[in-house]
Amino acid sequence: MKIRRRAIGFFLLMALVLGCIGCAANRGEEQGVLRYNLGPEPQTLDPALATGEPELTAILACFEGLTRLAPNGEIVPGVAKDWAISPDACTYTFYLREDAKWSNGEPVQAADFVYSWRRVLQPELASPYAYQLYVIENAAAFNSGEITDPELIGVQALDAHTLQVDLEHPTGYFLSLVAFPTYFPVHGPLVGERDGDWWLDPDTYIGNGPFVLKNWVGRQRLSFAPNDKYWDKDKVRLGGLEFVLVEDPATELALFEAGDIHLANHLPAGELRRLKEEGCLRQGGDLAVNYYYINTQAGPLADTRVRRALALAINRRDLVDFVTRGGEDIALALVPPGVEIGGVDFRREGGPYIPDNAGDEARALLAEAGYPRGEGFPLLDLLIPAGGGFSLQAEALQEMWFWELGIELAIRPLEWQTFLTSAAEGDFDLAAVGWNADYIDPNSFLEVFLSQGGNNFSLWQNEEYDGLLAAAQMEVEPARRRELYHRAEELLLGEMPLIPLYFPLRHYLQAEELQDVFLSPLGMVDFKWASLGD
Amino acid sequence: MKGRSVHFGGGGPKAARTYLFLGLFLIGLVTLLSLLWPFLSPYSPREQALDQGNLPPSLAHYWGTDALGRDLFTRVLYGARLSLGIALGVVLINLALGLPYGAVAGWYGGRVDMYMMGLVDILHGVPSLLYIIFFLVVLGPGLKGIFLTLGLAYWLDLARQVRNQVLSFREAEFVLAARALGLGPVSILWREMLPNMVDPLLVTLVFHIPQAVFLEAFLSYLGLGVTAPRASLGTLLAEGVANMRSAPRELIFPALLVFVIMLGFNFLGEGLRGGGPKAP
Amino acid sequence: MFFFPPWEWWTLSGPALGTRGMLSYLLRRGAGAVLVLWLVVTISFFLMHWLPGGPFTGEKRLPQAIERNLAERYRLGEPILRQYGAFLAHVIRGDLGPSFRYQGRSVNQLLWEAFPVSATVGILALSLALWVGIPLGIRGAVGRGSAGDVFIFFLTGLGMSLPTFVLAPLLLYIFALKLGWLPPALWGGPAHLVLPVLSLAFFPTALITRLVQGSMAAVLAADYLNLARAKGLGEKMVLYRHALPNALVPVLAYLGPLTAGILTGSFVVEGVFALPGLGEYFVNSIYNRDYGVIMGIALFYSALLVAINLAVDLALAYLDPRFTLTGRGEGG
Repeated sequence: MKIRRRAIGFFLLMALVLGCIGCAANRGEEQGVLRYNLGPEPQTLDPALATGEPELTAILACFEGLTRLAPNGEIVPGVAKDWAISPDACTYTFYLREDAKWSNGEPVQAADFVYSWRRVLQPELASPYAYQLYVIENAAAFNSGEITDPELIGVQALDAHTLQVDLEHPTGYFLSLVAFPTYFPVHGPLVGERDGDWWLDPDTYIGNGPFVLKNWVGRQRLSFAPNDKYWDKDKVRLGGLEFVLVEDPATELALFEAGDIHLANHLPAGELRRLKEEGCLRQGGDLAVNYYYINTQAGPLADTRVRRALALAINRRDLVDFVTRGGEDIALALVPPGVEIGGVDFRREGGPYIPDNAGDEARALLAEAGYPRGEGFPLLDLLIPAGGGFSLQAEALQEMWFWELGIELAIRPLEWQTFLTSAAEGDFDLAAVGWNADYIDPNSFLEVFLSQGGNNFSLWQNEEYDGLLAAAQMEVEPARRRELYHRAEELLLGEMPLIPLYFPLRHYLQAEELQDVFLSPLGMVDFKWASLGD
Repeated sequence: MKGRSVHFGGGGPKAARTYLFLGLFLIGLVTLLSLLWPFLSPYSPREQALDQGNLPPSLAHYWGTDALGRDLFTRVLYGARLSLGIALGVVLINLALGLPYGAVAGWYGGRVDMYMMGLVDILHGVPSLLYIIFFLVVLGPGLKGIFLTLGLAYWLDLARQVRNQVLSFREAEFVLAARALGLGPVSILWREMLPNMVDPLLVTLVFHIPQAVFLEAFLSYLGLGVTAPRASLGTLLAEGVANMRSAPRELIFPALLVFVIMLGFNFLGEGLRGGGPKAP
Repeated sequence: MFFFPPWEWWTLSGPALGTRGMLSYLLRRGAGAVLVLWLVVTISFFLMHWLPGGPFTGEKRLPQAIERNLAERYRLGEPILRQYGAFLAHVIRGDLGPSFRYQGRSVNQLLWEAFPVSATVGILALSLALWVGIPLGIRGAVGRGSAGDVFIFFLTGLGMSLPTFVLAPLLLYIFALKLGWLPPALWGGPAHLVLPVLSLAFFPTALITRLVQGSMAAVLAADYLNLARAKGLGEKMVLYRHALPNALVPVLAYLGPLTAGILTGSFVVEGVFALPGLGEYFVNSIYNRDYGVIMGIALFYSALLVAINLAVDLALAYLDPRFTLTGRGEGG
């Protein structure tokens, strides 16, 4: 009796609470609507302010730059239907298509780009990725407040459909750069009116891309419909997009396996082997490399021989076969495969610079440096970002170095922001990072180690290296440019301010019926060409 | 209120002794195993064999191996040591801080109580993750940070509980009687009140142990706790969850040991309470 | 019911606490609460700003010019005391300021969206824990040593041994993937609530069961119950009307922090089941150094905690006539 009454009370309470929140479950099982997990809640959907993968993916659905990166890796026309490059490769003229429209029907014109790029560079907007535009003439100076006249920035509208861009120096990858969201146009009059939150409201979120934002329920989901004003709308085959927001990769995998989403590209490392064995894991290239910075200013690591010994003693083959288990390529250089200059793969041409698993050579080097069998070698302090999947690899290396060289390693995981601060202050011997390309060029990886590079935690400084990269920037001829970069990379790996480990891959699962979705090597996903079968 | 003392336990001092014995036996067994693992297993907890990762249990590896080919049996026993230390630590912190603090607040009541409980609320209110990261920056990894965090977080509930009970006993007849006999506050608290609140107190104490053991796993994840290759039951559980579907045993074995330890502490708690109701 | 209805609050008059005493006590506690909140906010504020990093630390370090622009725009370069003053001024007006991370959105708005989610799951979990835990605990105390007692003993032992970070993925795997009975994650209809509520309720249920069992066992032996029995009251009446209120004293001590914690959500449960609640949000805001959100949630949580603790104290005074809130020689 008593129990039953209480049971009724509990269910009444439950019904009450449930009634309050209502039955908001809408599976969005409409025909042709692709469901995808974006990850965390987007911080902003303003192309000028976005930096993270979820933001960039959502923006790529709603906007389009002068060019677009196609699934085969080629750069295809976007708003620009054609372009011309001056002989000194410092001036680009883009011819915009007349039928490019905003999602409210107004035309997209050259002046929109001028407005948008100037906006990105305004110091007051404080766009974190403004540096993506620094290759444009006077852009860096304007962004840092050295000059205040926006007219001086090297971008101008020659007429409604012709855009001229002057660069600081020849930039071989500029056409892929303008496909990046920071370069996307925004609707000037509207943004000027509601700067600060125009992207929050689907009514004011006017884009020029394949989809339009229909609905954004905070921290739950975003839905998109095809944009019928898009110039290339015939190529858009999806009936819409629905992004859910799940941060835990294990949960994302569960949603995929339960059939709730069509694509899962953030997978838990512990499940990779099983998924691979089940034959459903798909892999794609990722312009990324995992390596350890070496603090070249501290203790025995100031000695190049010691740094080299550490790098040589690692069995990278075992590391990718047994620890990461994703079938990654081992890294015996810095720049990953998949970066082409003039149609030639930079990595394939350059080849490896160090041997893998060369224990004997490593021991010899260490002995030469005064630490035979690691005697007298101090405990090394390895900094890793907490929870980033670096821990297991670090433990494997810990053993490899101990057995091969007699060197003990202390692994120090740190919460991300603390990690970054400690790394920047040089408070470490070794620091683990994964580095992803910002743009498709060897420079994106090599410029990290410039003497003044903000992310050069190794504190390694080399004028010759700086000179080579500067010369490569000015070089127009692809073969010579590759040659300069190869020389720089060889120099870098000869001095070893870093220990390359492996080139990560993108692992993902996708539903059988999903086709032509493009997982960009820069991290975002492009759904323009995707379809869900028939 | 007829306690059918058929199975184990029941009321009375005899049952208490059984509980106490069971508890001491289980805790002692785990402690012994965690200290004696070098004699039970030919492996060291850090020794890897990368090509023998995630093996199922066999005669060579009683509980199989983990992702790096380390012997799971050895690692779990080794990990139990730190977790037992944490368990001991949290009990001591609770008793040393929570008990006297709550007693003082409850005894004096009024303004004293308000200020003292205010401090408890403040310590509760400041987000723990903030001071955890603070310790992480100031102290670096290691046990200091763990025990400081436990010391900040794990006596608050007990203090409030003791304070509530003391407040409620303050005017009780047996206390008034003791006071009439001229007993001082300390002896009244110790001899009269404590026996009356020991039951729920022990429950709280026992429940704090797993929480602290799991908190350590979180701290280690953030970088404040044990550093690899050392492990604790908490970190092993966390690793086990990550591999739950490919290699469930890597979750089951550490979980089993945690269960045995908790069962031990539960028995211990029951035993200390006297195994049943008693007259105030 | 063990919770006294609000309309009876003012009838609270234990032997040592008249209505006038009650009012002045409440006033004093209110002032104390403001002080507590101010200290929580102040400590959190300076601690948070002391921590390395900032709201705009992303995946890589940005060029210095851009760091400068960001500091300027979001007024992070200003002296810390001025920022503190500005924050307090906002708080007093009930405005928790903007989120640094989620641009264009205010902390008030984010709290308003996230709290109902956590509170829904939390209330259900807490109700479940109380609804299961209290009768189970009483049963255990009454039937010491019976088979039921042994069962409770092992069940609660299991409840203690399985941390949420193991339990939640386990439940998800079994009920959503293996059996396919329930949706694996996301916020939606009632079915989406089952697994999060169960995961969240597991530990408190074990705890409440044991607490009730422990304190009930002590109370059951007390003389006044025999008196009640002697008066001819039924055993159920004796248990629920006379014994339970006293047995709840230690449970209530725990209930304050537990309720505040559960209502503001669990990082693990909300993370695993992808619920847009406060708990996951709070932890991420600290990782992200989203200053506005950290302060907002810390303040919100503390206010909730202080309020619940006050309510618990009042409930105790109501449940236990011997429970005196005023000090020796003051008030009353």
